[in-house]
Amino acid sequence: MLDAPDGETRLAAGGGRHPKRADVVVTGMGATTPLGGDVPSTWSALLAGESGIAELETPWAERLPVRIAGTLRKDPADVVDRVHRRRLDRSQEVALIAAREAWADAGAPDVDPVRLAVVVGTGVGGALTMLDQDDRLEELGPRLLSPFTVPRLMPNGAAAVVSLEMGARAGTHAPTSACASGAEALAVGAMLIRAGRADVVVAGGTDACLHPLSIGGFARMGALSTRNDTPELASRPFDQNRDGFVMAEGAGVLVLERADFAAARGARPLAVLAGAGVTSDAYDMTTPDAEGQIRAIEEALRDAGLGRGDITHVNAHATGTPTGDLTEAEAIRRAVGTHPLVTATKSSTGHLLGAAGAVEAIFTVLSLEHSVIPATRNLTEVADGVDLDLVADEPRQAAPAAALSTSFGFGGHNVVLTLTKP
Amino acid sequence: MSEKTILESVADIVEDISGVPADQVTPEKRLVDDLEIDSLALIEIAVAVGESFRVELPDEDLKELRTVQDVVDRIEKATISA
Repeated sequence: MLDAPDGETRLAAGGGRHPKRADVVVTGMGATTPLGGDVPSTWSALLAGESGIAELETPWAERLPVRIAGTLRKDPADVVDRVHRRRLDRSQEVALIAAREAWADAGAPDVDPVRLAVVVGTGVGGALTMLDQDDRLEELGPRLLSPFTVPRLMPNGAAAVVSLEMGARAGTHAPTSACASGAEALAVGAMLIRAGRADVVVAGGTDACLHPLSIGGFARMGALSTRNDTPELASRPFDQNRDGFVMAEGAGVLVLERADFAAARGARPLAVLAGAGVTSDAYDMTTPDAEGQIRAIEEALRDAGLGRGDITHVNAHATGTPTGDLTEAEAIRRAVGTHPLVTATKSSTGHLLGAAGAVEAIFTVLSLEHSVIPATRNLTEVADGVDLDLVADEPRQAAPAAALSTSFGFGGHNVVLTLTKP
Repeated sequence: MSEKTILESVADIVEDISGVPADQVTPEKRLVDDLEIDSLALIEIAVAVGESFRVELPDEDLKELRTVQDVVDRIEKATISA
């Protein structure tokens, strides 16, 4: 999607990327997840094979059919000051925490504000604010609604909060494509840089909407695991006995830069965001379509000027639903092959919805950087119909030069990112 | 209730909501121009002050409350007449 595809010739030429196109590099990363309050702690917990999933210790969970989730390892109240928090929805707090870490990690780039953009996607937005304030409205009346209700619940709120924090004036965007939102934000960020609209983009995804309504709603669709008695074993992507995903909360943010801009300021590129493929299924609202996913993978390869043989690692979307994992396994096998090492990190983190794509892009960058691929937890018996080289039990030492991170969302959204070593 | 107590209570509410330290919330300070309290925080402060002193502070009266002293006076007036 990032520039005109020229089909098979580029693939055949192997690496014939558009000669005039700006390279986009990742120079900073931040996250807060059920595994840790920042990227280093999240990554080390992931490599250690920890689970971020636990029983929900709250009275409102008692009446629900699903009483497990991935809650943040580090409470935002410990990080964001109390006065600021009055103005923020939880999804905005976590986006701010991740953005601050990413910005510091990138060395706080000295960039003209009119050349700095923000793209923060969300699947759900400020749902907790909407629901909590609705409770207030019913109990106390309209005069006691928070005057911050609207800025806290609007879906562009997290992007706007980050834009205010960074002083970004080149445009602030908030893609919403359900569970592909975080990945789409990175695709849009790269597009802004390649279109010459920005030199630096703070891009990522956020969601924090653990509430009886969201859990009850997903459970009503049959989308969630009901392994309430064994939370750590509940998220089982690609496993024969998977029974749905586990909801989680958090945010992931990356700093993207035009490669020559980063080089000029002496920044260390962590990875190259070499390409992106964005497609839609127009098939079904919630059932995925392998054809749409395959087109997204092929576009991500073509956009990066790579062939399928170049891809040696895939961080799969793989949420642990019976249907979704099979469809994705087919798409990866047909579009890339069975040679890449595939992992499904939602087995540890749970499903961070609109943050998932950004957090998994971070994991993919770290795999490229550290030459290690985290293991898929709870993968004891590979599901029938899954023909992939899955990393299970222990992290695998490997040195991928090019990797994919896949994200798919309700609505038929498919986003695939191609990341390469600098 | 003495004026000092009202002022102190108002200052505590202002600090709680806007983050402006209570010791800077002195009578002559203008809420918007000096203390840099934005319009939405002002609404929250008014509601909190109203709740705390059990007085009605209609939104349309907020624009008349320019200084901290204006808020204190408004509370005194309301509590005396009550």
